[in-house]
Amino acid sequence: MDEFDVLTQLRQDTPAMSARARAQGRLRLLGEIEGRRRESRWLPARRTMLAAAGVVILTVAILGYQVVGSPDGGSTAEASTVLQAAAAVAGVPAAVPRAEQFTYVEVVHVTSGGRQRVQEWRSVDGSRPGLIRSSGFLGSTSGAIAPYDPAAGLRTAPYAVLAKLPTDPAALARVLGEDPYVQDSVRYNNVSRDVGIWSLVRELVETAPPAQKAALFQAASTIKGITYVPTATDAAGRTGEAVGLDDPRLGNVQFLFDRDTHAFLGERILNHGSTTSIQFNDAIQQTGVADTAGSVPRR
Amino acid sequence: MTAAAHGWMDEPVTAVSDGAVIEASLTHAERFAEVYDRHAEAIHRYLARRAGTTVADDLSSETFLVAFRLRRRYDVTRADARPWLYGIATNLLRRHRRTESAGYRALARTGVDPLAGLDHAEEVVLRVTAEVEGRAVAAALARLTAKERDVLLLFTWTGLSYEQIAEGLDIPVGTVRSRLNRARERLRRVLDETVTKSGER
Repeated sequence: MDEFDVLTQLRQDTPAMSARARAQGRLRLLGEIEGRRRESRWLPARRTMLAAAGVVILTVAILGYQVVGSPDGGSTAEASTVLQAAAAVAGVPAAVPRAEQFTYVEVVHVTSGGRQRVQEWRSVDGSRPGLIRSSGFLGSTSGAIAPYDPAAGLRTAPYAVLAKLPTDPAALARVLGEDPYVQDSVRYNNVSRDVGIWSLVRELVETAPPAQKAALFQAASTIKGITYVPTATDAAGRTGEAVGLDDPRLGNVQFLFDRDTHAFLGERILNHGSTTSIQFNDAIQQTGVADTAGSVPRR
Repeated sequence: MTAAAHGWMDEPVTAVSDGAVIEASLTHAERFAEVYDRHAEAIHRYLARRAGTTVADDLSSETFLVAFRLRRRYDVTRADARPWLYGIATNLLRRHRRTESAGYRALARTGVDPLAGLDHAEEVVLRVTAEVEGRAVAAALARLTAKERDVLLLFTWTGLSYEQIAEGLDIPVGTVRSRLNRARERLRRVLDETVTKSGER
């Protein structure tokens, strides 16, 4: 036997990095990145929150992870209908914000650690620094939002960039499929393009203009494997219905909608194979347009 | 902004190299998280294999903190960041050299791998290396110099080439080759002795 062969076999059964260690390492790195930035700039709040929750968004595939079947067994047709209803409501035209204004989003995130309220102001045309304020169990912070970086994809895109996206669902799905975030998910996480798109849709719906928001829900409604969840409660305690998709990295990622108004309420992530074990939950409290970063629009 | 300006429609999708991501992280620091997402698993495995899961949990995280701080020094024309990251991880491991060597010695002596016992006590899975060669290799590893061991384990456990090891450890390729040859000879000798001994039994 070759001496290198014997060595190659030694400790070959070393256990893989645990999800916990990976999430903690990532969180430590994000902390370093935040701290080192000359002007404090923030990642999109959702990513930071998911990292804090120990939810791994974008990591190398974990060997042995199996995509489990739908925990509810809900039908795809019903799921598709829920998303189309949401699209119909989302597509109602609203006042177009001016270039110098800011889109405002307030979201409450709940993880096993506690609650965090996050407010974000993003420059409509991307020309001004945005602002993020965050308070809760992770402490209170505020700082500038990282500016839009086309190379990083659409996740940090301002309203004006999202307004240029196709409003035809199929064309939009193609653009989303080519986004670097989705590409990286497919490439490094071994997830399907659809799973990547599902995550990206969540990142964009809060800021997207009505026509694009409608197209996002429509594009999502054609994704294979989505399931209907009859009852789901968001982080603010509002109960509605939901549509879920299994993401091998995270669990069953569900979008929650009001049963009557079909408004998008928020998101929750259930552990694989469970209908009760929630690892992440959020609720959109308010969206709107503000004249300055830091001023909360009137409801 | 047009679709072309975004590069959505007209450009074929090409893999973004580690170098390009690290370059982007110079102006958009958060991009550096992608380097972690790509390589944390592999770095952790290498560290765990040498010094156990507990040490690996800590050092894998630290490897990327160090890398982030040093990213300005990275040659962004290098598409693959693994040699650089393994190099950093290897340097950090020096602090745990005694733990590592003690592990090999214990394995050589008893056939039970202390790394398995220490880190997964709850599983009570003792990693018993029944094979005589495995114990002999552990004995040989314990006797190598730290520098020889670094080169040998990077070569056999991470799949880096001579050139990549040279790059990661910042030493000439000739040095990699000579250290690897020395380590190989020692391994050979220990294995030969073992085979002879077990043949006599």
